[in-house]
Amino acid sequence: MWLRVTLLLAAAAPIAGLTLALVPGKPVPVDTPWKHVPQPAPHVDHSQLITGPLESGPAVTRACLKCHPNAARQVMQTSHWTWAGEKVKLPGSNQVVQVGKANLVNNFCIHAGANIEKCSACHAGYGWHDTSFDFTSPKSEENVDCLVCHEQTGSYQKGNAGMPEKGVDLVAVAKSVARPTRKNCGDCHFRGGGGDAVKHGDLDGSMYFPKERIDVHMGEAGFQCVDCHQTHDHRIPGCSMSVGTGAGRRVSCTDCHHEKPHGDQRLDAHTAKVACQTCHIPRMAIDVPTKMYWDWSQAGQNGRKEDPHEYLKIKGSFKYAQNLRPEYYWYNGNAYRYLTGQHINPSQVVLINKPLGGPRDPEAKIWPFKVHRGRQIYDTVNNYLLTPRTWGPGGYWTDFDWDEACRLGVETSGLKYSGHYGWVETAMYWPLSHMVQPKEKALQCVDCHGDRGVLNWRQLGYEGDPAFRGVAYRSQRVGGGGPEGSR
Amino acid sequence: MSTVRHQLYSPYERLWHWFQAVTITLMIATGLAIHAPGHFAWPSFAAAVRAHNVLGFLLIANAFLGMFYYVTTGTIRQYLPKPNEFLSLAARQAWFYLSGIFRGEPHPLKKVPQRRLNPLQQVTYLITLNVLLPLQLVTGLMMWGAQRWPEMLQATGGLAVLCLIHTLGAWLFGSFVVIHVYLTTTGHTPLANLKAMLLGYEDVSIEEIEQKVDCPDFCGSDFCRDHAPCGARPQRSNCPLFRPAGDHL
Amino acid sequence: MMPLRCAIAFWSVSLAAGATALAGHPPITLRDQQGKNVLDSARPISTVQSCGRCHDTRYIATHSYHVALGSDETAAPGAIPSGRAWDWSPGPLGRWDPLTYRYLAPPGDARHDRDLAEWVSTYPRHVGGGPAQCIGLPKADGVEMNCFLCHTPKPDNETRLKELQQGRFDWANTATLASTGLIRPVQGGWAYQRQSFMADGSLQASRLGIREARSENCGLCHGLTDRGEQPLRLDLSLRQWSTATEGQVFSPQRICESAVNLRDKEHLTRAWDVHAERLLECASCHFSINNPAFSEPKLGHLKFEPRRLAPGQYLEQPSHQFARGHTSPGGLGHDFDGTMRRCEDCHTVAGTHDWLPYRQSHFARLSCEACHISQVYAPAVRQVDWTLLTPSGQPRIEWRGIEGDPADPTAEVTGFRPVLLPVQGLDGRSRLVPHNLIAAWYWVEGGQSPRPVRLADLKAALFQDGKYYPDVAHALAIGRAVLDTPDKVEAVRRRLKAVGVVDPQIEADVEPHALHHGVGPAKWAIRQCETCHAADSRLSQPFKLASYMPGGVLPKAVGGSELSGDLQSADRGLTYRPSTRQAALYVLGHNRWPWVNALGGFSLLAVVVGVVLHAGLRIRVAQQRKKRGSPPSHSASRSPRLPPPPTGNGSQSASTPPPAESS
Repeated sequence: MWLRVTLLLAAAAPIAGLTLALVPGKPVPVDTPWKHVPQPAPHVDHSQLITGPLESGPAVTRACLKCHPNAARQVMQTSHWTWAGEKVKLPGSNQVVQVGKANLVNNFCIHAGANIEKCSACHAGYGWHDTSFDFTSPKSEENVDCLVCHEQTGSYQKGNAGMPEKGVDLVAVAKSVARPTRKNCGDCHFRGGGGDAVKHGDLDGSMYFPKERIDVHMGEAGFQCVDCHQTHDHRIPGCSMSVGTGAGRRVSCTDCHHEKPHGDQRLDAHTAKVACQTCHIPRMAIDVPTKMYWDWSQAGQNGRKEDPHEYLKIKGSFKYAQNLRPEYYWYNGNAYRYLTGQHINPSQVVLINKPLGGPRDPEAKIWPFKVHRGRQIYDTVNNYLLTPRTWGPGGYWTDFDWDEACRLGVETSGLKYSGHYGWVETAMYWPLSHMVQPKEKALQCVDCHGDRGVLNWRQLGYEGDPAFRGVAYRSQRVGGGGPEGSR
Repeated sequence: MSTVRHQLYSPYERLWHWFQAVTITLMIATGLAIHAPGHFAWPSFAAAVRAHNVLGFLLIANAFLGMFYYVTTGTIRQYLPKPNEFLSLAARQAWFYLSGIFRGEPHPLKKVPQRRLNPLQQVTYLITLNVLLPLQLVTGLMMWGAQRWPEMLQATGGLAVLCLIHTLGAWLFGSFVVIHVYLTTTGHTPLANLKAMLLGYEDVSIEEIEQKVDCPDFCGSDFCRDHAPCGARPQRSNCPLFRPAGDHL
Repeated sequence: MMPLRCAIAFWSVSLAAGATALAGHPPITLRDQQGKNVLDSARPISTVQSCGRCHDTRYIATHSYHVALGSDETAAPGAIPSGRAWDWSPGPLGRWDPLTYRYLAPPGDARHDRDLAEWVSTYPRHVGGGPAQCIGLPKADGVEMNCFLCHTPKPDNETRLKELQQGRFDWANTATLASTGLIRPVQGGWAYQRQSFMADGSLQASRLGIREARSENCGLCHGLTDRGEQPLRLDLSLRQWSTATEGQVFSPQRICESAVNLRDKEHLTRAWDVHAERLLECASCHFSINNPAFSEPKLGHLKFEPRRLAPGQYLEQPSHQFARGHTSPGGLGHDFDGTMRRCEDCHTVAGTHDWLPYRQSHFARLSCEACHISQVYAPAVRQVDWTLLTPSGQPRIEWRGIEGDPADPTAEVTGFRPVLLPVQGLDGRSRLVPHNLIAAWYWVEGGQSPRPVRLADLKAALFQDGKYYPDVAHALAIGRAVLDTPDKVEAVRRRLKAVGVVDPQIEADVEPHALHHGVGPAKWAIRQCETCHAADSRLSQPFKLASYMPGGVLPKAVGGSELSGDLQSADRGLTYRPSTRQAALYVLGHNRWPWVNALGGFSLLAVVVGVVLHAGLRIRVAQQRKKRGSPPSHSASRSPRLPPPPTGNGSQSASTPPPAESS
């Protein structure tokens, strides 16, 4: 007994001391983002479950619904199906609107409306030819397109009205279904606006298999889109202000990362007013040039050299840019949105979606944006942006007649067309959240502060560079903090 | 033949000894890692320094506790050689290690509770515990305190001198440990001494005890040692502590 | 003048901030020496007249070691502390530099290399004024202090230097404005573009961009400073002075984004200098000594000193003595040693250095730079050899931190680890500071007043019609074309004597250049104990100085810093091997007493051997005994009798029979 106690005590005490000495001091709080990354269950191999023949898209969906009876109903609640957001109060007014891709105007291809048969190639459904499409009834459940998000052969193609292209082996495609990959999402989202990298500055074809230097999450860590856009009941969080007002559940860096992750007081202090994206997406459109300017007024000119990055007769002239610094504005997650038919001041740049927030807004942070500017058609009598028909019979791309295109176009959008049209400068804001680059490439002090800094501090509402003046805002009447222009 | 079971080492003595043993071993190991970093995969220099410092303070604490114990209980007398007999006894002990041990001769001095250390041990432990250990502790403490009291460091010639003494001391400690461990095997069986230090007692034949002192009735107990020899000569039966070996269990 | 002074006082400028140009500077009239508007007189601009209407230019010129460059501290040759035997001023005016070589002889000295006028026209790093103006020049009025060089955004230094080289001293300052579009070159001088001026003949200050001096202004003379807009290039010439001598670059740009062909560049994601990256300017630390925004209480019991110059007073009489450290060779402006903001004046260590064990000990022995400038990424000069000029008349210069020919843009830059030398700080303590060492070899003519052989003499001695003299060429034909054998040295010595050089000797020195810039972010500092606390400690890593030693001459240290180590020649080259012991350091894990280890090791070994022998013998004897089956010998007959012990208390008689075996 004594033997044991003696030995134990004698050996334990110095060893305990030793252990105490070797254990490092107070632990440093560490950023543990991996804790939040989902570990998806292995997907059920559907190749034995699906049997042909499957003659059409809806036939595939019927087969899916046999085992996933709620899936179509869930999808039909989402904006991937409705192309419309939730009913929300417009920021700054009491007007309740339900806006979305279906009824809004942008400064790319302008408006889905009369062109829907072409546009709906990216609709997660089958058969949206015109306004008669059934969005709600149970009968329409079979029109939900399961394949576009879940097929993994890479051979699935959608054509007009979202119907599968001829020649697609639907049985093979249906057998391949699994958790959506970057390809499923990217085929629509990388190519919005009719081509690679047209719309987003931070989503393009280089993101199918991005290098680490382009996107650390998808490149180095091999993330899929749905690893961050974690989906429940087919509701996919994340909401761009290009097709809505910003309402809805968002995806945020701090879903996984610590709010003050830098281990540097100065940098951590920035997180109160600066979005993570601002420093960590130092450049956008890194490998693939993105469209920065689109002048519709030049369309229709014969004899000009056709180049998808310079000029197309059907679309007008473009400017593309690559690997460039974004623009920076306050953004509190909400956006002012130009609604179809709203009046404009043609002498000013029309801000189609303006990020809201300012230096005194506790929710707002300085955020990086791709700003797509352009010249597009408007009604010079009624003073609103017109919704021309571009695609199809009588469309501008067929006949090169703006007058006719507008007359056909307003039939669907419900506007009145005076018969007089002109061209107005517009701007559209695309907040950046993808293409998060390795931390070694993040912005440094001099990129924003001092002589070399690109931030327009006074326009952002500061008295001057806060690195030298401290945080001092201009008087509220003077500084709005947001982009200037007409609503 | 009857044997008597002697309590050679009190529980605290054993605790003290083994604490000392583990700490010094670890200190030698970590000291080596500080002395020649890069030669060992583990520990790192920083960890070795930290560990060495903690162990050093444990050793200091143990040294003071030990001193308190030995002084207050009087056990310290075990370590004090008796001047009149020391030289001859030491010579006999040395001769035993050089010659007698090979012939299987008995130890010139039997290990009994009242004198468990031979004169060579006495002088070695005296030097180790009263010169070498304090020297290491003091130089080590000064090196540790170098940043708190830089003037003190300057006054003593800086790290160069302290490290010289400390390193030399470390080598001597290492040598001591080797000899010490080896000599534990020279008991009546190779593991007898080790066992004694672990268990605290040793079985000693009564005859042996009786031969060791002038008093024919000496039973080997502290009481007996303190009261009996030479003076009162109490009978064994008078001794309240005496018990035949078998009774101990 | 008074209303203008009032205007100064009301300028709402941020004196400490470097964010924007001085928006409030009033229009200025550019005047000539006579005070007339240059638009009328068409004569060169006088900065003293033009700026002097509001700013006290006399005060500025007399309070500026950049203007004086040592001309106000001259002494007899050899009497300059930590100087060479022929130095007669602590600044570039009379301090000979082995890199630039040419020597301005003291006044009245007949055997001079160049006179003051030639010095002004060839010394590129002087701002004008002082010696350039005060000492009578034969050709022109002299060069006034050049305000434009430091206080406009894009001064044209090249054009200024061209004017100086051509001896057009009066136009030099005007020519500094060549890139502003205000002037255009005409025959014999410059003409003013009247349309760029205002109707009343004055000039909007914004047209000149007048502002406080920025890093890029300092960089014109001091080395590579850069705002990092374009991929940074290294020049590897002495024009980028501190970059050449110390490998230092003051730029916010990430090293990996520069155009330098650096090894493992993709991993060098830090800025060239973290302070540049964090928006500091040179003047943030090297501020004007009477700038009220930077003035600090000098007494320990005060935290704040409310009595200070008003901004207006400062703008009228801004001292151009700039706060400085105390380690630069040359030692100009010693009165201002240690006035600058050092690391510890801005940074606290609490909270950032808690991880560091023995903090006080480390801080008492190491400068901040020792760990925070752990690596230099630009090449720096290592060796200068003036003993033999190349056929193009240049010295042979070797660089460290680059593999291959420095002139070759594809040569790989490796950077270098600076060497740590003890430097006595202002508190009297010696701390290790990272340095570059430059070794120089040159011919010195002997006699009463030794001095480097004049460049003209050297060229005359070596070259005939642009080629080496035949005997020199003959000697050089064997081996490298450097003076690495006695034959070659003798050949050149003979030639030097032939041109009249008295007793030519090769001398050599090593000049330490302390590094304080090019600081990396904290995460790049040395954190591993084993970097220093190890046998191959950084503190004693050898530092190569030269690949050969001209004339076999071992250099001596100059420049104030003592070398705490040994110069060793190896492979005919020269290496500096620092010694921690010579620096009065004992570094745990690195330093050892060899004899202690020998002694200790021997004692341990002896003990182990003794134990093994003893144990072996015991086992052997026991085995033999077992074989013989004999009981252990106790018998007195077989054991030598011990002398009977003295009988006494507790002692035992040896003659008593042994006890029976108990086991």
